Amino acid sequence: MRKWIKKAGIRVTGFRFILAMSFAAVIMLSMTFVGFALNQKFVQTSKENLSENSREIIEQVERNLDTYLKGMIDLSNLLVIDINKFKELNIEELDRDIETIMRTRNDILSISLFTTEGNMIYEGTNLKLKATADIPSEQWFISATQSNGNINISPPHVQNLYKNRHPWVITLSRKVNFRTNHTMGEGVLMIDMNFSMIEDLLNGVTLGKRGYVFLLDNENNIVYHHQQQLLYSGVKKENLEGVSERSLGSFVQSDSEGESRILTIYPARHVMWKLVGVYYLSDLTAAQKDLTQFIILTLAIGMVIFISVSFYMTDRITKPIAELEDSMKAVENGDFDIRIDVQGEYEVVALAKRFNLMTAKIKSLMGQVVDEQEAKRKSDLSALQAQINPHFLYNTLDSVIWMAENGKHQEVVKMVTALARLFRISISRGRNVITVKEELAHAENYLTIQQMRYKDQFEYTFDVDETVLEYKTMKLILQPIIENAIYHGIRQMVDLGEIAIRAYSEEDKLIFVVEDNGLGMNEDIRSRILKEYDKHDEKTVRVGGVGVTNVFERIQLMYGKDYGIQIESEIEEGTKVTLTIPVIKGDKA
Amino acid sequence: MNRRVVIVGLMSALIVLGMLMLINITAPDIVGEGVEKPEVNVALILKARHGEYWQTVNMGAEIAAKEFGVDVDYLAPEEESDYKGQIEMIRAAVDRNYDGIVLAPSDLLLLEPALDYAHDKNVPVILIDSMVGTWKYYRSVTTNNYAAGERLGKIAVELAGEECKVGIISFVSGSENAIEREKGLRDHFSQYENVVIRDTMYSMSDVKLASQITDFMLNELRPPDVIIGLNTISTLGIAKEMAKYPESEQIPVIGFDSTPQEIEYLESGVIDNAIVQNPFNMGYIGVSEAVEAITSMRLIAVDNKDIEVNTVIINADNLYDPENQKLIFPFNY
Repeated sequence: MRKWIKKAGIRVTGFRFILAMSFAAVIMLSMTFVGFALNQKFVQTSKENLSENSREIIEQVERNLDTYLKGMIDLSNLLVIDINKFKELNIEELDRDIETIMRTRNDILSISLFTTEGNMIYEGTNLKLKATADIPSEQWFISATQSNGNINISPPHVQNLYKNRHPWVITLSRKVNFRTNHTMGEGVLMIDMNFSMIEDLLNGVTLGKRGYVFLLDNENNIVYHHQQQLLYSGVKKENLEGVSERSLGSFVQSDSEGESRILTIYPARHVMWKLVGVYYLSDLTAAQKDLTQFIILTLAIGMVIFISVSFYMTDRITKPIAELEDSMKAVENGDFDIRIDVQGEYEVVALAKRFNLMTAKIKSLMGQVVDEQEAKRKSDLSALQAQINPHFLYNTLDSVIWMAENGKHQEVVKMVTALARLFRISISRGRNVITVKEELAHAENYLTIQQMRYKDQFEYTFDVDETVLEYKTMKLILQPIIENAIYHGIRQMVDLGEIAIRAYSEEDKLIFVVEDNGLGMNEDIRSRILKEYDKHDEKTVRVGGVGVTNVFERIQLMYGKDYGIQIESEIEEGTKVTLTIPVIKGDKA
Repeated sequence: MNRRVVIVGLMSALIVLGMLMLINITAPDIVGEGVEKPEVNVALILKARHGEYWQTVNMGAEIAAKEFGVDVDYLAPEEESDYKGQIEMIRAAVDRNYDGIVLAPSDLLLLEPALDYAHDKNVPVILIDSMVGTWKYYRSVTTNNYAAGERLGKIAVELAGEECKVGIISFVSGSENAIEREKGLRDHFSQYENVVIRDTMYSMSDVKLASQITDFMLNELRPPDVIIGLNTISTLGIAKEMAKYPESEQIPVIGFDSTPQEIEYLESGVIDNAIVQNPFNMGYIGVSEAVEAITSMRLIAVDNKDIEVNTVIINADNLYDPENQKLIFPFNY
């Protein structure tokens, strides 16, 4: 994942990524928290509402049932009054009344009147009584005769009194008094009510997705259940645990397969029945899952939007930084001419400004370094040329030949020895830095050779402070000065020339002085010799010789601007050249 | 910049995907229900369009349909012997893409091509009431006819004693149900040395013929001590003939099923006992098995390929017991 993101150009540790992710995280956390809280609240509320709701539904069912039964009771009351009003039981008149009732109500199956012995006095419908019908042993009949005028309502049952018909009914039965042959007699009034009305009432009730309502009689037998037949044959079971001891209220219980459900019990008026509502908790969970799903979906969509927005926002913030980075990369690749023109937040703009300043500075420093290197290379080359100045070599060798021809062996030996030493020191195994002692020896050898060549036209003296002998110095800095003094100062002199060389230290400076009493030079030449080395051109080189300028440049390149050459000169009086370099002791370069 | 858009898009897609997976984990059934909610259609093909028995099967099927949330369409030929009509109905149900078929086969062997066809088209078939001679069905839900025969035999011995002559009136000689019932009877009687079984006679599902056979049996040199009818029609025919005799001259009658007419005879004592099958449960279990077959996407059940539905013995005394009322009188008529 990380690699993949990296490849795609998003740095996991990047500012932008971290910013975006932290936005997203904050949003997600808060959204999840709110979603979770809402969900919990919903679950709690729905659980609280659930038993209340199912109780309300069952109450409604009970009210309907009650209305129905009450209608029946009212009807029976009406009939009792009707029967009582006759001085003598008038079947025909009763029949008229009952026919009117039957015509308006299709839920009444039959209305019959029996004597207490079980003989039928009146039958209000066209149904034929079975020959095998045994009225006195019927439960409804027994209940009616045993109770004094009370109304009995039977559980739903199959009416088995009629030929070829076995309707499911609820039977209302009660004792009535009537007059026959001027004597008071007792009888039983029976009203069969079609059970399908109640069945439809109960069957139509659903609690949640799978819940239902069933009916129990006073002995807790199931009198109606939508799966009654399956219950009887054992295919299904109804768990009645906890139902019998309650007559009202809700409790949680599990069905025969162990699934949790809420049972709500409500008593039915007029009959001793109980209505039991069943509500499966999984229906609640389903609704809850619906909500959970909705919340998660909202969360997902919200996340997409917020992450997009946060990426957009962080993009805006980090874009100038990315631009800055791109520019820096260009600088890294050597392009110092780049200038950043970043728009954006104050911090970034300031950063860009500083960056611009920095590149400018780097650029100028770079230029300086390049120039310095260039100059050093040139002067080194000149120094190298000076080491093996071919003219000097010819002239010396010419002198040697001339001396040899004249048999001046002593002088030849002296000159060649000096020449050899001169070269040894000037080469000095490639080292650039030598001791002051060696440098002075080099100058002396050179002077020896020149003195011999110019036939003692000049004299020279060394005045050296012993302490400086072991100090280090750049090599070949005296010889060019001496050469200059001889060629431009002393050679054209009539009098004897003098060259004085001194070496001493002053504070932390090592000072060499080369002084001659030659022709001297005018101010113009003097100043041209010591022009800034970086501005020197061919002319100065010719005027001053490679020598002095070269020495000056080398000293300054090596030791810095604090060191260098000083020239004091007066026409006809002489020239004094002072070289200043730092005191460097021992092995230090 | 383009690449970034792609990345943000991809990440968003990933998050949505993750969330959807989360939904699936937390509420798999909801997603399943919400997304597809496939309408499951089951064809219920019975032997005949009319008759209380088949209506009760249908009622059980409807209860199951409601419980499992499937659609059940009720099909049957006019006549019980119309196996060709059934073959056409099975093929039509397969062609109309019913998800499953609950079938009460009218013939043991002749329906095989139709069942092969359903099997080839991946439509599971659940047999109810009767069996077929092929293995190409998911599960069968039938009355254990052999056990029913045995139970009748036991009652016959109780009523007529261990020394008796038994008359049996079956319906069609080739019927698998008839064969099994008679086998159960005869196997039970074989325990008793002195039980004599008269040759089985066939009513050909005709009440009049059954009555004539009864008359014939009763007038034989040695009339049977008990007569057993192996289906509704035969039992009714026997009862009708027996009712002509005064109660004192009647011999025990036992038989099958509980039509209103048979109930009258039961109540008046002409029929002593009847064994009642449970067509309601057959219909209910048939449809619930169809649902199981469809959801498990199998054509043949893994185990318990043949399951049986219990029978109940009824008589004048227990006819109106609460637990029998619903079985015998499933309708409000």
